[in-house]
Amino acid sequence: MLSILLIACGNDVTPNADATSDATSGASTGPTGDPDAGMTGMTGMTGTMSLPCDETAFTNRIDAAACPEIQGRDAPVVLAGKIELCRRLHIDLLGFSPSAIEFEENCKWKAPEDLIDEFMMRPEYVRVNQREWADVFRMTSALTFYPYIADLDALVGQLYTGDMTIDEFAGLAATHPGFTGRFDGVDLVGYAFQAFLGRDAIPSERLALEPLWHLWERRAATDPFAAATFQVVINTLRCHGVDEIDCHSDFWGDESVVIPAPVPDNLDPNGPNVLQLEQLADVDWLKLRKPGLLIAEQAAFHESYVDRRLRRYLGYDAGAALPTVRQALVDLMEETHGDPLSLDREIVTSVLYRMSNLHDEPGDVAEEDWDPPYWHGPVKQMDGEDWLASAARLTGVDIGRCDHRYPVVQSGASGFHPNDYPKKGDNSPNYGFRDKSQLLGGCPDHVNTFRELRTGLIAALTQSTITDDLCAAADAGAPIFPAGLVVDPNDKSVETLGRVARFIYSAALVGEIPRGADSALADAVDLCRDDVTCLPAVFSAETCRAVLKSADFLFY
Amino acid sequence: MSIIHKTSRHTTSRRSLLKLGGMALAAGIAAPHLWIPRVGHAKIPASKKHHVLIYFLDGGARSVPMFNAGVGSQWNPLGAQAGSPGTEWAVGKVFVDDLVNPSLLHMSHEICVLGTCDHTPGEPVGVGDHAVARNFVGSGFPGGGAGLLSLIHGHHKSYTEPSLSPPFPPVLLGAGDGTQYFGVPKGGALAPVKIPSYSEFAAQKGNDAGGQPEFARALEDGLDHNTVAIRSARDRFRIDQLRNGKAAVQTYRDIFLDPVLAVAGAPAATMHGLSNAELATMLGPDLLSFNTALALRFIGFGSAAVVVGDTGWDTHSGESAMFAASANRLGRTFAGLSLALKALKFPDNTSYWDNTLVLTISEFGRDNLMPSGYNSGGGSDHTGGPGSRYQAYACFGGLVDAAKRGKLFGATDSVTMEPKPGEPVFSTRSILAMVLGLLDIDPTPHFPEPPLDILF
Repeated sequence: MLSILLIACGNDVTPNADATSDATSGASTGPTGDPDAGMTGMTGMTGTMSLPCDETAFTNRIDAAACPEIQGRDAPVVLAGKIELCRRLHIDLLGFSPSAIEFEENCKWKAPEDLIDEFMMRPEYVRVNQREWADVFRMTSALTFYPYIADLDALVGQLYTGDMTIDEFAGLAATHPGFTGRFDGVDLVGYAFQAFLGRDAIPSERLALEPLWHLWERRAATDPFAAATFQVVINTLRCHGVDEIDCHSDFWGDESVVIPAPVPDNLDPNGPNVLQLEQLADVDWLKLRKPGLLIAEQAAFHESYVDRRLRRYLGYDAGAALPTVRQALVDLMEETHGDPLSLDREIVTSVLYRMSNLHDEPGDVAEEDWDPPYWHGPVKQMDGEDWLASAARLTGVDIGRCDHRYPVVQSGASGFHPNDYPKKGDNSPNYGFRDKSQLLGGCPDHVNTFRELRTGLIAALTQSTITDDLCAAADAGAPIFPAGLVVDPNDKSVETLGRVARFIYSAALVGEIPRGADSALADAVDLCRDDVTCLPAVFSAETCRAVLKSADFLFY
Repeated sequence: MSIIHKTSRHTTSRRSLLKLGGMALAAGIAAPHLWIPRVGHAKIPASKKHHVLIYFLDGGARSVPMFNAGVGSQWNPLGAQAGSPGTEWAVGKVFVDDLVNPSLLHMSHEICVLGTCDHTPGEPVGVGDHAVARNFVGSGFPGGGAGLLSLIHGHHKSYTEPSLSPPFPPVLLGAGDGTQYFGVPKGGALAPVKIPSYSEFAAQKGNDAGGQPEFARALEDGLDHNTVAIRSARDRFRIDQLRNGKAAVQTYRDIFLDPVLAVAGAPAATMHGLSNAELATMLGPDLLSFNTALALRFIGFGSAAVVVGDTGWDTHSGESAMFAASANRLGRTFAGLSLALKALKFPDNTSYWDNTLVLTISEFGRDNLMPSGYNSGGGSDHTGGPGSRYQAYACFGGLVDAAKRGKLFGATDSVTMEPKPGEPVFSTRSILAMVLGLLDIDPTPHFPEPPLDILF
């Protein structure tokens, strides 16, 4: 059953009466027995509007800001069905695609707002965001002392449990040892800009602002769990005496970050004027955190975070495409002093996010004349990790996960430092998931490789390999268990093969095989029946692979 | 000059490989025709049998201390040294002759250096922004566009003319951000094959190289086709990249099943006269070398062009150690590559050397330097000033005219790094046009400037 809502420009909110599969569009449909699979009650509009895009009629500020570019241009707004939205929310907020059972349990009977609130309370939501910041900060214990990383990652966690604002976070993170232990010199300025201002610093900015980080120094160290590592210290001698000028910047006002040398006459580079972090007093930290506090005051700070979140959830540069939406969200950030949860909720409850991504557009249109991306719902490619985790969950194969903090776990005399990888018999990390995911652009090492979405020949080969393994190893209790679908090993009837294919598709994508692919299914069944090597077990396993590799599954 | 010694890991000596390379060079007979563009008077030896191997130094390489080393210490704090006899360009002292591996110092006379490569000739300033510069090197235009490899894939005759056994597409080898700009598909330009690295390529075994029964392919293609059909034009374009990848798996499956692509895992596998073990002996054991070996194998299967991306060049701080390592990795690879290109022979008995141009490209050089040669962080930046603007690109291979080898074109002032009076400045866009022309693709519809012909 499918219910599509049309929000006409002005005042109409019209549920689509068609509650079945759309034969022409191939739209996926609601679950069996669902009397109303559409997203009624989530139009973002209240009451009756007398004017198009009257701001008072919207409960969501994105909807109000985007209206002139959507409804105001007579673009119909078609909201996603429950299945489409359920899948989108699962992948975006939790990092995996739901099974049919999870759809029934989580999405079928809940209002989307409730579902969103529930998902944003889950640890998976925190984890997917920690993963994103691990990429931003290029976390790796190969270069940074692992406890620093763990602490910075925990701070990120507080952002997404509602215990910290992005303003507070910037004040801490820009001089957190997990950051100053990863980068050095003018790179500290460059990567702080990239993390919080949305761009690299130009050379003059790098030079002008480096003094604010000038006290920080990395020192080679050893640890029972990291034989070769670097710890950071505050070397007060770097700003001592005539060198004090090296710690002064007039770029963002006259600012100095200087901690006086405790023993002024001692110039020993390893002496008492080199302070361990444990030696720092609160007043010292207050000085040291100046760069992050200044960054958070910059006009681009909230704008940059808003743009990043819009890109994350919508898959395109909505901040640039719809500047009024960006500004509306910057206003929200100002009002909430940078509450990331309010921002996320505003985005994922907006019409921009909740529209269906089905879109009818002629195929022979020149690129410059393509419809803008905000005239339909987002189409995104699953991250390599999310795809792999989803395929593994659906086939019931436990292949672990990677630890976004530590692409390569270090070790010392006492063994490996703490980590979240599954363990081998000797307690060493099992990198099976990491290694597979890296082939698809996930689990980056943050030194030579960085997260990316891969398609193309090699990605196709990789997915072919992985699905071959997963579908063959599927567990009997899994949503997709190809071997379990074969009752009579010689039954190649049209009905049986069709049933097997429909079951697998539905288990992976919740809905039925789109009608637009019916003929392909019929062809596949015929080809299998004509092929003596295609036994039902083979058909079942290969259908499992085909579905998990399909664009339907990978794009959402 | 030192003698190149053999290593203990492989059975083939470097000396014998050196001889092999020399004989191949002597035997090779190239017969390109002159390509005359509609605009200008460039003379490009054009042939669809030619190949281009580009090393993209991702991040902005400090090319001056490597290939234009005869400048002041602010621009090259490492100094210069003599190269092999016949070398007229100033070889950077950063290159080390380690007596074990082939060294650039033995083959610098084969390299022609273009010392004033510039994205914006005639403009008051150069480009210091990564994204804009990468757009320039990848597509020729500041706002971006179809990547060079995509243009080649879309317009090279080997790919546009019907064939029972289509040659392997152009390949983008590398996962660096900047490298990807060479593979942007647009309009009639088709995405190349993208391979993050040899190690990742080797790690995915492709269980039967993506083999799939016909019925499963029919079902999957039908699902994908339906997904595309009900999406916007913008999204169709993106999803089609997935479909193209799957189609390529089927088309080139036999190639992927060939053990010769396991350049590190199948040492005995041989193609065009060299085994993988021999290639490894020449090129060395690191990732850049494996990527290079894989690139050569793809050229053997018909790839018209391969871009090998090499990261680690964006050295804003702590430059000295990183730069020396990167430069020597590149130099050693070039030296091994020179040997390999001469030893590898196509079925028509011409050598790879005869048919290949090797070229380095980076988005910009480095500047913002103090008299010490570094910035305050011990690194270097990229502001678009003369130091980062005028890059030195190294070119070699049999397609470079013998009289041009060992020379520098485009000398710079040792103090200002500006081009010396009367010296040419080479538009990087004209270099991309040159690559198209060399592959017998008319660059005129794609680039407004005539292709560079100074190498020929």
